[in-house]
Formats: sequence, structure tokens, C-alpha cells
Amino acid sequence: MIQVHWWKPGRQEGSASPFGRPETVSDQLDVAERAMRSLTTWNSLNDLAVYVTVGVDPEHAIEDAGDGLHALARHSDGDLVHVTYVANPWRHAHVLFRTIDRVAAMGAARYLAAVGHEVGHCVNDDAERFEAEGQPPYFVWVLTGELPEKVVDAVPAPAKAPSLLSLAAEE
Amino acid sequence: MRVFTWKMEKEGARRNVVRPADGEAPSIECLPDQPSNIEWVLTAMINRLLDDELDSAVSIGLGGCVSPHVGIHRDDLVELFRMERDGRIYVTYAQGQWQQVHFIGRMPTLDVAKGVRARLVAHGQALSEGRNCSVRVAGEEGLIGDEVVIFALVGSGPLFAQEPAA
Repeated sequence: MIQVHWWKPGRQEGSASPFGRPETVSDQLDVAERAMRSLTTWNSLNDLAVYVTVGVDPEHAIEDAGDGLHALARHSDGDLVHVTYVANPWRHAHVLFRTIDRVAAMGAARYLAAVGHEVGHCVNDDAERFEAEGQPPYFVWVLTGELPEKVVDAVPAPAKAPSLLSLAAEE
Repeated sequence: MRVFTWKMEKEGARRNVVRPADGEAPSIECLPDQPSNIEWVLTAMINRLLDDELDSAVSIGLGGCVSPHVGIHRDDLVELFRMERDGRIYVTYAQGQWQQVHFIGRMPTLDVAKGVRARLVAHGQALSEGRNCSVRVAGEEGLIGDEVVIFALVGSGPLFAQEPAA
């Protein structure tokens, strides 16, 4: 069961809160970015992963993501299509951005995925194009949860702080 | 989609039908050393298409582990290869209105397989030259794991009409 959180602009400028409704999700990219940074940082610190998606029906898509395999990457290759899946690892979904502009939605998804890659364990393919199909409004949402440990391994480990002993030795 | 495997015999090759609902990956025969034997398969396949006198196409590719769900449709895709590694599942599908997939044989290495594929494509194009059948390479990527299998997608009918020459 995936818990869905609809993010709305917060009382302070640039802040957001995960207690909205579908219609209260904003089209402010800077607010979505702040939420994304917060989410990704928290999840990465806890060795959890985030995955950005764009579409028109988050509730249905999120429900589907709770079953079976979850597609991580899809690549067209002549008469073939290669798809990489992971068994469903997701626990929460955060809807961060809402717009009637399809191009803006796809751009926001790409931007938020880039933020996710910069901050922590974002598992979207670097080259993912985030095609949005269907009638507006379009939403961008982020799935968070546990992924196979190999995903965590793929991210460079943070540098450890030097111990007092080693600092003493360098002197 | 109908699924076939091939068995090499002294004087040719024999076709076997695989039932996609079996849930087990079909066993694919290792191909013999003589590449000319492999061309029997393609020759038989293309001759049958040419006999039907319908527009047709053959798309020859390389894959890894044949899926236990081979031939099963998922949306507009048909599953061909599936492999699990490090908690991830890699699946290769055929896209398009293909009606058959033929698993021609298993190859010892990727390099050998690429050479055989090139030879098969050239052979198929020579056989079908000037006829209503096109032969091409299916795709360039998607090989995962140690196994290398040569396959051919086959389709016929109006959807596979040849584009008129410019």
C-alpha cells in the first residue's frame, strides 16, 4: 500500500506541505524543487530511493506502482524495446507539481529528476525524457521507498570525516 | 505471437512450435560450426514467405536468456527475453505487428553471433532481392548475461508492404 501525499504551497514563501489535495498542488517549480530537495535528502540519508514520474492520473498510476514490477527505464532499439524493471519497492508517493501545460510538466519532471540525481538516490535514467500522455492537468510525482541494495551501491558513498587519530598523525 | 525453435539436421533444419503459455523458456539448440547450415533456416523461412506472395518482413536480432513468458503480449509489445540480475529484471520486447518469432540457435560468443547475424541478413537480402520481402537487423542492444541467441521476427500482410523505391 503506497501512501499518497499531495503537496501544496506552504504559508511561508517557497515552502510546501504534504497535506494538500489534488487541486491544491501548485505549478510553482521553485516550491516543487524545495520539496524535492527535502524529500530526496531525507530518503537518501535513510538509504531510500526516489523516482520521478509525470502523467495525468497520479492516483491510478500510484496504485499500479504498488503491484508487480515497476519500470525503471525503457529504451527503443529498432524493432525491439528494452525495459528494466524492479519489483515494487515503493512506500510513499509525493505529488509535487500540477500544470495544464504538457511541455512544462515534462520539463518539470526532468528538472526534478536532475535535482534528485544531484542530491541523492534518484533512480531515474539520466536520459529519461518523461513523456506525458493524455489530457491536462499534468502532474509530476515522486515515489519513495526501498530499492535493492545495488541501487544504493551505484551512488558514490559519502566521504567519511577524518578521525581525530588520523589528524594527529598528519601533524 | 507464434513461437518456433529450430533443430539442425544433416540435410536441413526442422521447425518446432513452442506454446507461449507453457511458462517455461524453450530450449534453444547450439548452432553447428558450419555457418552455411544456419542459412538453411533462413532460406526455409524466406522461401515460405515468398511462396505466400504477401508483403512480408524478417527482422534478425540477438538476445540473451529467452523468457519463460516468450510470445506473451503486454500492451503493444511481445516478450522475447528476460533476465534477473542484482534485483533488477531486464526484459526485451518485440514492437510492431510481428506474427512469429523464430529462435534460430545459440551462439558461443557475442562476436561470433554478430558475424553470423550479418551473414544471415546478407543471405536473406540476397534471397529476397526484388521480391516483396524485406530483411533487416532487429536492434543493436539489449544483450545481458552469458547467453547469445539468434532470432528472427517474421510478419506478413499489408502492414509489411514495401516502401516504393525513391
